[in-house]
Amino acid sequence: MSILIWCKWLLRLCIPNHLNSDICGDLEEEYITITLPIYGKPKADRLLIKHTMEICTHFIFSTKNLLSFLVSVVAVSIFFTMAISVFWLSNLADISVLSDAFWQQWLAGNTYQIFFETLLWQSIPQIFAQPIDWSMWLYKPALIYALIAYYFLYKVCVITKLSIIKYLLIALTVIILPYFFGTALFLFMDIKMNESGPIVAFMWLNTLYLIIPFSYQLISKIKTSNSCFL
Amino acid sequence: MANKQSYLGEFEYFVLLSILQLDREAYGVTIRAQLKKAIDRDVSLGAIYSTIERLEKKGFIQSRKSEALPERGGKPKRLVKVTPKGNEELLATKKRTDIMWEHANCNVLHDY
Repeated sequence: MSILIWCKWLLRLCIPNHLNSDICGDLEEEYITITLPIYGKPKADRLLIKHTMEICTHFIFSTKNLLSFLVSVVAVSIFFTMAISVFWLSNLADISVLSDAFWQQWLAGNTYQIFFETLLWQSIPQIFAQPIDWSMWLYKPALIYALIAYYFLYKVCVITKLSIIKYLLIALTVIILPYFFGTALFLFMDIKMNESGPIVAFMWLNTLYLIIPFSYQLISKIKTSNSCFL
Repeated sequence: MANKQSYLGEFEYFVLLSILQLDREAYGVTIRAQLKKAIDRDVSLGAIYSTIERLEKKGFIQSRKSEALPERGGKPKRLVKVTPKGNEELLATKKRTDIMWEHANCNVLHDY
C-alpha cells in the first residue's frame, strides 16, 4: 500500500469530518502534481509524511482538545480516588490501623484526610484482589440527590444556554454542596464514630455519581462552544 | 464595546491577501504555495483550513466546491473568494497599519 493511502487514513482519524475531503484532496493534489514531479519519490514521500504529521498535530493539539483531555483526566482521577476510598473504608476490618489523630480529624469533619493516608494508597493492589460487593457504592439519599442535581442542571441547560464557565461553576457548586452539608453536620453536631458512615457516604458518593456525567456534558460544551464565556 | 471578531489577525490578513491575489483559483494548495512564494512562510494545510473556517464565520470569505477531480482522488476543490465585507476589512486593516507606521519611531527603519 502506498504512503499516500496511509497518510490519508491517518488524516481521517485526526481531522474533523467536514474538512476531510478538502484536506485529503489538497494533500493528494500537492503530492501528485507538485512534489512528486519536482523531487522524485523518496523526497516527495518524506515531505508528504512531514506535512501529514504537521496537519495531525495542528488538529490534535487544539485548545479544545487539550481542555477536554484535562477535564477527562481530572474527572477520572477524582472518580477512582473516591471509588477506591469508599471500597477501602467499607472493607476496613480493624479501624485501629489508622491513628487516633486521624479519627479525631475525621470526627471534626476533615474526612478528606483519608486521601493523604499512605496506608490507603499502599492497599490498592489488595483492593483490586478482593471480591467486589457493588452495593457498597449504592446509597439511596446520595442517589436521590444526584438524580435531582443532574435533572436540575439538565433543565437549566435546556432553558438557558449556559456558557462553559457558568456550567462549570454551577456543576462544582452542586457537587460540593453535600460535602459542605456533611462537614457542617460534623462541626455543629456531636457525631459518634458509628454514625459517621452514612454522612460520609452522602458527602462522597454524590461526587462519585455526578463527576462523570457532568464532565461529559462539560466536554460536549467545550467541543461545541467558541468561547468560554458565551 | 468594540467587536473583537471583526479584526484580522496577522495570519488571517496574509491568507485574505493571498486569496485576493489568487482571484478565482484560491484553495488550500494554491494559498499554501502563494504564502511560501510571497513571504517564505511554510504553513500546513491544517492551519490554512482553520483560518479559512474562521474567516468564513466572520463573513470575510465565501467558499464553494468545484467538480470532483481525478488528481485529487476524486475529491472537489474548496474554492474561496473574498466578500465585499472582507475587502472592507482588508482596507481598514491596511489603513490602521499605515497609521501605526506613520507614528512609529523611524529609527527602526533607518537601521535597515
